[in-house]
Amino acid sequence: MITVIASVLSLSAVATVHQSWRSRTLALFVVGLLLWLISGVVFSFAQGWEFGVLITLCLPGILVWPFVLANQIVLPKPKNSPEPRALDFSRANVLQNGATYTVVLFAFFIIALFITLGISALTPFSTAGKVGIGIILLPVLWGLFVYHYLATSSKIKILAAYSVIAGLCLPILVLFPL
Amino acid sequence: MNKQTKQNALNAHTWVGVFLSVLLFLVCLSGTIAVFHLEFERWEQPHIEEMENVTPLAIEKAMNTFLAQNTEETNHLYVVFPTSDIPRLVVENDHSAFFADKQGNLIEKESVSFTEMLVDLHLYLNLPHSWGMILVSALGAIICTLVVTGIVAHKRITKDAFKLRRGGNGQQAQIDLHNRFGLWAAPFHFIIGVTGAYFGLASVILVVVATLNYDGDREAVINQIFTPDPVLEPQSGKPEIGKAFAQLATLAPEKSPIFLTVHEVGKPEQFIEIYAKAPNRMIYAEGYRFDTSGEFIGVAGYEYGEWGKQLAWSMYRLHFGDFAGLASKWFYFILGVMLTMLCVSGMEIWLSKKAHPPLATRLWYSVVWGSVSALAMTAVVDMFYAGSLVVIFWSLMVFNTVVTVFLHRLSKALWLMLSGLSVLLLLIAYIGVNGASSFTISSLQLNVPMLVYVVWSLRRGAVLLSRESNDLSAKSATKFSSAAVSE
Repeated sequence: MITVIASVLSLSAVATVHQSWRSRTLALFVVGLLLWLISGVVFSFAQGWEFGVLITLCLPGILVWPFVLANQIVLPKPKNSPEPRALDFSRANVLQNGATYTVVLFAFFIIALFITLGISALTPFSTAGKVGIGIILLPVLWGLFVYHYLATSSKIKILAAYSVIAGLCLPILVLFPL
Repeated sequence: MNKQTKQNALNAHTWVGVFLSVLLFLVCLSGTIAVFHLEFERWEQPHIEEMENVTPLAIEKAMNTFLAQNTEETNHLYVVFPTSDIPRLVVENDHSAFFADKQGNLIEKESVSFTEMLVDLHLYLNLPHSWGMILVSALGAIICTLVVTGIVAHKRITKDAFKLRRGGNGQQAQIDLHNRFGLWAAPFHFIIGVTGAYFGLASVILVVVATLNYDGDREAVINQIFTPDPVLEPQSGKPEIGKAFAQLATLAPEKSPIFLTVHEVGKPEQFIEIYAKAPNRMIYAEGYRFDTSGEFIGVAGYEYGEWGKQLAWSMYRLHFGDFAGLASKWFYFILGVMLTMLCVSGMEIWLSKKAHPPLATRLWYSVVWGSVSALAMTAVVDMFYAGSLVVIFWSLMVFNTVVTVFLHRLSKALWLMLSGLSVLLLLIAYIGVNGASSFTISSLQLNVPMLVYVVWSLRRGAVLLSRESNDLSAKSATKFSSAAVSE
């Protein structure tokens, strides 16, 4: 029953945010956010705080769809359809993409691993806590490094800078064992 | 945020999304289906007796019979209780598993090869486990990249928050679907990315920490994160699993026993551990430990242990949505479908920006809908063949690719219909093989959703097919009239 109440609150939160979006009203948006937070408290009360937080974060991803479908419009058919563009399979392009794969999947894996462990080693927790921090931090850092690398034009510089930071983490790991 | 930052984020998003699309799609699709991996195990042998609970006597009897029939050396013995997510009694060692009935009589050998292949595809992409695990974990990190870059790159994140523009040439609808899935379900995608990375990367962290700080002793690191084995007087004799199980009702009446393990079978360090699910807790289970004579020693301490230990022990339920029975699994399944659709729509946007290069477009559809078809056909083959399903699945994928290269008519509509027909064939074969058992709960809970998929894919395929033929006739009419004008 409490879960149902929390679900209704979550739905009301999405409906309120949707209404605020339609009417461009900030106050309604804040009310929507408050309702969402309250739904989180009620979910936590019903399912425990861990599941409460999880459901509160993820449920709007499903509940939003009736509102999205209510806003759908149909566009007219275009008069012209463009000719397909050929894909670039030139040797330079293939080599460049191959190199990017290697950097993204292997080089940044090693770099992110050592930086993560370096940061974890400096945290004031026990081994289990440090490893816990590492578990969360590693994919996030790896993902962010990949973003930085792909978004920048000076790729070699970025790769070198992160490699140096990862290298500096090695003595940290030796001096401050996990 | 300035335009350049958004454009840079979009460039990063596009590269990662396009160049890792096939791997991301296969991991997301298999993961979405694997949310129901325990249900698939039941589905593979639907005639097995199911029960709500079991007596300690029945457990003892089942294990004794199993040990009498399976005398090979083993390090572990297991009993899976019907109070786990599979309402069946299973006794097993490191080599084989047998179902038992409510009285403890062995029924038949457990055979879940399709589920094993599906889970292996999700966890390792069917590659050698060490490499596969790292590659799949890398995709977890890549999902984190995609979430961040997707949000940064979105130029009209608030303006379009609830918009869906269908029609036109279909490109705007794909963009809107992609952005709505991406924005609203971002927390889920992030959780799946981080927890997905854990399964492979934890072992790498372990190796590095062991090498740098523990002279290569991995066991020492594991003991810091998970609870070490208890130190006992040298044990001998048959483990009293029934006696241990009987005590759980008083030790933890609020918890549901999942399974029991006898560790270090036949060795002086032998002990019994029963894993029981704690209500409203994310941790996989609390471990209740007993010596060989069934005397309670203590708990493993996951429920109220250190937060780092609890975190590591929570990853399974957080990743697979296995915490509130079918309700949480359906919740994860729907969000998983959205994540899979995110991969599909992302690639379709890229293809439509290239005005759909014919071969690349056909190949993408063969991966997307062809993999659904290949999975269904693999399950069909599994009913009549005992060999490697990994070989079957990947042979079908290669076959799909080759056929797609040569058959120019294999459009999205046809692939969609083929996937629906493959699932229909699976259902027919399943009913043919399992007879009346095809209509038990363990079958219907998957067969009904599969039937819904068949109906949807055939209807949707028919709509797309008629659209394609309309477009084709409109194109040829335009060609004809422009030729007439030029004459």
